[in-house]
Amino acid sequence: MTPGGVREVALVGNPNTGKTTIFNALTGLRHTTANYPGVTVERRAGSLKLKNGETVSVIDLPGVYSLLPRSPDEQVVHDVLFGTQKGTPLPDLVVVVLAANNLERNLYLATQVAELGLPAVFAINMWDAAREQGLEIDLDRLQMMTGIPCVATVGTDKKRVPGLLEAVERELGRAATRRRTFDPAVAPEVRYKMIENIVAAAVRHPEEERRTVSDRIDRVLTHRVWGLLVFVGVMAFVFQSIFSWARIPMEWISHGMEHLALFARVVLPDGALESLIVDGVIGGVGNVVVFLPQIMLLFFFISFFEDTGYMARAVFVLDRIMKMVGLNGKAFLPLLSSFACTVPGVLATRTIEDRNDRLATILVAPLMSCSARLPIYTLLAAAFVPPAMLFHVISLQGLTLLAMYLLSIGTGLGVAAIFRKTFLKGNRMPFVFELPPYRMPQPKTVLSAMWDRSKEFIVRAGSIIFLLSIVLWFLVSYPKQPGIEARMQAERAAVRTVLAGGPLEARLEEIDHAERDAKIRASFAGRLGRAIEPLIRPLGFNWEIGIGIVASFAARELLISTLAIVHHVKTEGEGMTEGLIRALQSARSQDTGKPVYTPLVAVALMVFYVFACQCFSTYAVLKRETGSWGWTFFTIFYMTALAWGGAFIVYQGGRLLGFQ
Amino acid sequence: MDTSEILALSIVAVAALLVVRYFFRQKNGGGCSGNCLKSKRPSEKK
Repeated sequence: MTPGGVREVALVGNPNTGKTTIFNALTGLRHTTANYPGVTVERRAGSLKLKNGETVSVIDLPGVYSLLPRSPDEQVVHDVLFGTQKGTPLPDLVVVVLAANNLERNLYLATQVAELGLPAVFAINMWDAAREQGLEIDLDRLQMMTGIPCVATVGTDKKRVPGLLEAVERELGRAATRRRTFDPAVAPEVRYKMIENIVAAAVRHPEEERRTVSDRIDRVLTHRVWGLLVFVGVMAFVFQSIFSWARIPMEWISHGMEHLALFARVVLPDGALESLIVDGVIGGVGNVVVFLPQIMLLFFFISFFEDTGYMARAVFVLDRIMKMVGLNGKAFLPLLSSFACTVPGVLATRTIEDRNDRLATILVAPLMSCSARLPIYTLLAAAFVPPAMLFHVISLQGLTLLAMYLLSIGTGLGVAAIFRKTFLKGNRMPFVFELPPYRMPQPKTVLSAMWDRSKEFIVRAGSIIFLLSIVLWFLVSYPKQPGIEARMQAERAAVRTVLAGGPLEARLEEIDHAERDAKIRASFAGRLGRAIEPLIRPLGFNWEIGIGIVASFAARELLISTLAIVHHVKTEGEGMTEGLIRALQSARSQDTGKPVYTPLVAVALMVFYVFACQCFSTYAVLKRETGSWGWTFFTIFYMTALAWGGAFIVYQGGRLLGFQ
Repeated sequence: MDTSEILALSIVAVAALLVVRYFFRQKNGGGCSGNCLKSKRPSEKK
């Protein structure tokens, strides 16, 4: 019971048993997400109103196979069920969610929980999938042999959960009468023997193994070749959709930001404050926020594929490749998380027991293209890659995006292979996981997971990107250059004496442009950009891009903020992003008069961002998780070297092949 | 320096302080919680 007198129900079960779906069915969307104190294991808690009016708290524990802890998430489950987890009381009732079509394995954990002596209910979930396979489960016999009330559930069907609700209410009303008999020393073989007897008595298998729809689909999706092709096809579809479906909401935000900037220009008097708000804050943050629909779409697809069960097939297909490079199968989920953000990805490696396995995964996790890179890819692709369709299926822009993600995955696996074969040698630990049956995705679950992941992007834009955009504006605007201003004023005065009308307006605009460029060139940021220009010139980048690259070491999105501020984007009713795209397409070097950005430079810049390790939060988490500055600097160094080398090869190789 | 510039520079100063605070908190936040990567060979205690 919680300190407030609210009784607590804990949900436990193996991974992929539909535990979270049951949790959602019981609590609706009334749940909060936090971490258990001291560890980065997610704690989802919600409330459930019983028929008698009582409200109980429901917590969704991480999916585990046993109560004997080896990883942090298993430790949390152990501690909660033994009442030793700080901040979480001993549950008043434990609901064990078991997959009806795999009772043998699920009963291993369930019988351990039963032996704890806590009031418990077994929710035999995915009942429909078991029936489809021809399994017949005698719930009464199962209940008799385990001593725990058993209820059939279909988590995805609300009508099939009330039985569980009644059982929860009934069992909560009973006093705990069973005593603890759990003995961690019991050998697995002994427990499996006992489970064998239970299953033999309570489950009747079909005389002939039925080939289910899931089995038939799996023949293709988990096939060595077809499975991989389908995976690449699915990714291509996702990236094409990101480009085409997100366009309209992006235009809304883009126009919204443009109107906000116009409004700020009207209400604020001319001067530094107006420039800070319009160019720094709205230009810097607005140009990043515009990409939110694309980020949300990416997370929607990831959540959708997780909920349908396809993601587990992708793990299966890619596990063969991970095996070849020597990575643990458990590395897949941390690497997948890294596509959202490297920080949770690196933290998720805590489930990997072997030190070298875990270190190799941590070191390559920042190579996975996180959501902060997506706006950079899409902006540059939209500006410099033609939208032409290839075979009427995928646009060149979508293909560019897919190529960047495949490059990040391929390089990550290649680098992991090198690490595992050199200084992080070791045996690959066996990896066991189950393929859950395909399920109809639950909109509530998918949208909730999408929102949880997208929220981080909004928080970043509203906090660190906002603050850094302000600092960046200062670095681009100061020190003041009275000499330049005086020279340009003199030039304006001279021009006014010889020109009039349209030609005068055009010339004055040129002078404005030249003044702004000269000021940025002489600013703190400009000096920094010019200082590193010799290093990035071989990659086709000039000092203006150099400012963005330096700023990106704090957070990658700042490249976009920098480009917006440096190029002083003035929109003409086409939307903020479109204005930035136009500014990039028309930007010319002050030194040579040639375009700053060409398609070749854009691709080289994208490749640079695929590899570069630029994120302060990533440095912090690398230091925290490896416990060493050495590994942190090693990661920054090797990734920066890869970024430079990759961009160099693309730019110089492209020039040799005649591209511009 | 006019009022507009004073205001703008004050905002910049506050933002810079908050950025430093943000990074400082990132650097120290969390801690290992006993889950840091364990050293390959535990140090021998005499």
